[in-house]
Amino acid sequence: MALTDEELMRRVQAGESVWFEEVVRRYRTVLTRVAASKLVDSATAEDVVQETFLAAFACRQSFKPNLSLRVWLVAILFNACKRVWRQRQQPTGQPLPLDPALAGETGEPHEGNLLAAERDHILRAALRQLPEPQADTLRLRFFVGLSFDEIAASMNCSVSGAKRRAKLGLESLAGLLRSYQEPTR
Amino acid sequence: MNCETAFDYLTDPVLNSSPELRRHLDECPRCREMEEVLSPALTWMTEAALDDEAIDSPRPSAPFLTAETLAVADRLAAQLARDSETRRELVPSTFQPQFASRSWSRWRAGGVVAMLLLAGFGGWFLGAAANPDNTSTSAVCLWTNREWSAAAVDQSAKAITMSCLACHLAASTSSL
Ligand SMILES: [Zn+2]
Repeated sequence: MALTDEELMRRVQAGESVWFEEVVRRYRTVLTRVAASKLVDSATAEDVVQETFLAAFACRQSFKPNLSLRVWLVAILFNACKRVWRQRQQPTGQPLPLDPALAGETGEPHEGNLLAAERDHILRAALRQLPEPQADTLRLRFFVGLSFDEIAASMNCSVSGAKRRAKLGLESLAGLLRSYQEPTR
Repeated sequence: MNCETAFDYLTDPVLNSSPELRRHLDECPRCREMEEVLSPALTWMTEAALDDEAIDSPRPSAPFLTAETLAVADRLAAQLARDSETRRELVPSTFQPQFASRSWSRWRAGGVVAMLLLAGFGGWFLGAAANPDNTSTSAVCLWTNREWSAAAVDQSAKAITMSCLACHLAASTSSL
């Protein structure tokens, strides 16, 4: 039976560092998705995720079992992203422009059949158009799978505030994406 | 289901196709209208959340955060601890780094990460590695004192590491 996150971290804290491999295996995809959504460059996103795991490992003793491991990792990741922004003078409010040409050779965004990579690029660009707290709320909710309680704790806001951010973010995002054909599920 | 729960379901990539939510939407014009307005965003976010293939490594052949690099960092930290007068004062003499080196051998070394570790993190590993049994924290720890997230504009993963290191050093000093 798979160990819980808490059991995993207890073993890592007890010196069985090999279990950190499982932590990385469990959360690499989630963290990479969030980092790639926040940062323009995929290679940088991967570096930031590695740094996040390194920092988590380095301060593994400060992890408390009553905390959610994914909340903890995301908190470290967000701060690592902020450091990248500082280094590159890329403030959070400077997004990639939505480029309709990405939607196809004709530059016509309504043609549909967007490739997965194109949709991914469009969504990332659209998220970067939002105020960062709204975009982060959506990333935490959809990509990390946090509850609104956990999002509120992570972002130092009320649960109702987290839901309001999510709703506002989704409204803006819907406006940005409406011109693109919705991908088939 | 009430409208509050319906929003939780709507924004959950798995639960947003549940029959319970559909039933609520059938009966609640307010939520139905909201779903229609938010529909493009909900669909795209859900699709992205469920699509594992969208996350490709830009350097698929490069090793990712190998355990060996972590082991190197821990060994480096232990070495620095042994070499340092300051550390000798702070670190209990019984300390031995605890790494299961046998289990790590199947991992490959990661050049980029190793450089990062050696250049940037090696020293900071001292705190965590030097005092593995210490789980106490103090007021300086950014993580355990959650105000950090409000003032986090200037913080980084390294800053968190540093702050936690400060906790461990403070605790180990006071225990001597
Ligand atoms: Zn309703």
